[in-house]
Amino acid sequence: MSSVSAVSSSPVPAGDEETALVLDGVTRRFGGLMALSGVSVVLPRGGRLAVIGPNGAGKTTLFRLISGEMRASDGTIRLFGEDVSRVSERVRARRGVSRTFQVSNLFADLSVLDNVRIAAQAGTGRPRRFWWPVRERDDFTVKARTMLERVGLGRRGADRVADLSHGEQRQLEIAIALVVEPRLLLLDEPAAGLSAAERKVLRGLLEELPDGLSMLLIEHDMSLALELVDHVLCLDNGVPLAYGTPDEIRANPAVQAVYLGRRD
Amino acid sequence: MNARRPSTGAVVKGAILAALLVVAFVCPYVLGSYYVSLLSIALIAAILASSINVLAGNAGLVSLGHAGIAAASGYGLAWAYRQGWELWAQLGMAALLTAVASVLYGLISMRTRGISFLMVTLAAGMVVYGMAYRWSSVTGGTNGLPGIRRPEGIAEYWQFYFLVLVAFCFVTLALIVVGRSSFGLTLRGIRDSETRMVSLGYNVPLYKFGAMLVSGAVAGVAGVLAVWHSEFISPVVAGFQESAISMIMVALGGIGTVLGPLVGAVLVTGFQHVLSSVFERWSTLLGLIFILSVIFAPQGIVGGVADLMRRIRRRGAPPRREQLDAEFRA
Ligand SMILES: Nc1ncnc2c1ncn2[C@@H]1O[C@H](COP(=O)(O)OP(=O)(O)O)[C@@H](O)[C@H]1O
Ligand SMILES: [Mg+2]
Repeated sequence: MSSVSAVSSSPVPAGDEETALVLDGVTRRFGGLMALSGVSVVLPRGGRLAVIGPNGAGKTTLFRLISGEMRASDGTIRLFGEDVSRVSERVRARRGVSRTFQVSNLFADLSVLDNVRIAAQAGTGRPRRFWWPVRERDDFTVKARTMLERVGLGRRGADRVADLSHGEQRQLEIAIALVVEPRLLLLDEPAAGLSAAERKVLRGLLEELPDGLSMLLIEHDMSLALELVDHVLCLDNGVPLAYGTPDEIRANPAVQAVYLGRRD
Repeated sequence: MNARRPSTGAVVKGAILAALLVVAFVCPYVLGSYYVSLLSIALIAAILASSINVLAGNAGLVSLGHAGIAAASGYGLAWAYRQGWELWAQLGMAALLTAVASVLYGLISMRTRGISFLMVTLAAGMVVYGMAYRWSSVTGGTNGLPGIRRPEGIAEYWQFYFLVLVAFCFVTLALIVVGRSSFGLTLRGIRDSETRMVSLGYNVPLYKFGAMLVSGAVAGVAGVLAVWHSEFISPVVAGFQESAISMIMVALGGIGTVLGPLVGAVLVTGFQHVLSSVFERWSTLLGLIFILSVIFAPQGIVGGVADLMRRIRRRGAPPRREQLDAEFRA
């Protein structure tokens, strides 16, 4: 993990298959507003990076640039050694990028099971035999059911999304993102609005993620975020403020001033 | 959920369908030719409404131009008939024009949704109407193409009725299969959250295009049957009013329900024929009824009834999440 670098002036390496993500001077403007400027990060395969910063710091924007929902105004983004700066969101998803949304983005009129099933069939590439009926025993359904068990929604498969509590909807959000078996997982405030018990379930789930899975985590709950990651990037007003291990970040006076301090 | 033990809902649905089928089969033996023809018209309208329903119900795409696809198919058949072509070649021409129209509709609408989809399909319907009207050397212009006799075997009104009935049943079954397939699930995913589908790697425009082809094929069937029914085709069948009334049938019957298009088509067709003789402004009345139904039964008649039955059943036997779940696992 020593290859991780950010907020440095040294040139960013291009990376290879073993490098999940390379951001090189990534910048995004909204009209006159600099939502992000000059973010550079290298995330090795299996790396876990927390992205922290006050509201409006540009965290979600960073996720949208990585997933391809919007293009960077400047800079390059590489996934697994490939420059994807001009590659569509759909193709990046096919390359293994999966994200959760800060505001749950679920299929409101589908059953809980179908929400995960539709993601499961996307993850296997083109759904084969797409005219075949959706069945209770096919691979997608089995995968979806297993995933629902893992996030603690095993009994809610037949329910409608509207009947889920806020916390359960957040768990479903994660189930959808995970069932595609991603290589790079982007979690946007997964614990926001969860009860203490639900947070515990979430932590267990994230701790069990496969070793080879690379993850970016936006999270305001420091005790949760800093335990799950090996590095932290702190943004402030779109500018990278600090980068380091959780211990380094905790000790960083600038971070304390701009972010941690405000919470007290 | 369990193949060996169908739910009460499925049994009720099956019983309703079987009863309807028996009634439909008996009709020509007890009704006069006028009413049997009226039923043929209603069933053809139901087929066109079903083609709209497969888009609206699954993908959430409301079309106001589907009469254009049906008309393209009808003109193909009528033109080929007047060229003296064989039946198979007439049908081939209808299929070809249906495919061309569906592909064009699909290409221009596959990147739209909501109101913009509605506007684009409406415009496409206008283009077909304009072509039927202007390109008179081929389409006969306002006069249309008259004298399109039905082939032998379906020349009698009751023979034709049975053909229409079989076509309707076939189309309905095919669309049930589409709805239950993983393709149908994908379309409903697009309806609920396009952004999520893209983020999962789905090629959303491609699926919308595919849905338009399926829907267009069904509209093409309605187009051929409509020409055979009236033995005539003119630009009117491609007009906005035809598309709009078909959409009203779907909404009235219940968007996304299996029987909605049929219920809506029977009601509106009956209405049209009963009232247009006594009341000139019947279309105003239809509009009023439609508005009332949107206010009081937004899921349509079939949707409302299904909801009511579900609620009554729930009251009798409290559910059952565990039971449902057990069934899933069995
Ligand atoms: N689509 C957009 N158009 C204009 N401004 C935007 C847009 N998206 C985000 N912003 C602005 O960019 C800044 C960063 O937003 P965001 O990335 O959502 O912050 P965070 O997730 O860290 O709270 C904010 O000032 C926000 O108002
Ligand atoms: Mg955010």
